[in-house]
Amino acid sequence: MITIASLALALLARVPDYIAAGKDIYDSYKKLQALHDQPTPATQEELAAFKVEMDAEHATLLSMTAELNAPSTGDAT
Amino acid sequence: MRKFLPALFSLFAVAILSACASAQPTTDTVGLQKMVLQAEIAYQIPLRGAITVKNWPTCKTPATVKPCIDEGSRQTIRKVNASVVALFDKAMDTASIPGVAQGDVTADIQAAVKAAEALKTLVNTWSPAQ
Repeated sequence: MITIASLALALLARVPDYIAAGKDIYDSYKKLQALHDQPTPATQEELAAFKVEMDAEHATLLSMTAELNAPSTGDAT
Repeated sequence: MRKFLPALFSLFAVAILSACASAQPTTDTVGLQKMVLQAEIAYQIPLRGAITVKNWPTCKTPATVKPCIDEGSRQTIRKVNASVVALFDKAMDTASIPGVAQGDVTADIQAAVKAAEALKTLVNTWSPAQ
């Protein structure tokens, strides 16, 4: 009984993580869809905007990597 | 000398044509960069899953808090991600080379995606049921 309760509590404690993960997955899906629909940039303005987008996505990847490399938050709780 | 002139011109023409063919961009660089970017964005999904799993408490024996992950697997996930990011960087560098063949970029993307699949498999082996 105690094990089930502790498991339930542990899972409940992770709910905000799961919500955040779900939101990130949805955001990635939307970005991917937008990029897929967008025609290949041709004008200088479009190229500049694409470069900004590319840099932003690379920064996201690097920040997620930093998050992965950081110590586990699970051990702190 | 006259006998050799047509042959000389032919050789010259072949040289010019092959030089033009190699200097001609095979595909659009921005289009190739977009391909890499799409793969990078798609990779954010398994990476988010990896971050969630990484944040689980470390498994301890005999009393184990679940869900949990062992430190070795956590380190492996980090290493695999580092190689995926490096492979995406390589793919983006290749895609930025003017006149690069599309096949070269596709091969680089495939290598990154293959490494990303390894991360996905690793993350999927860890679930709250374990």
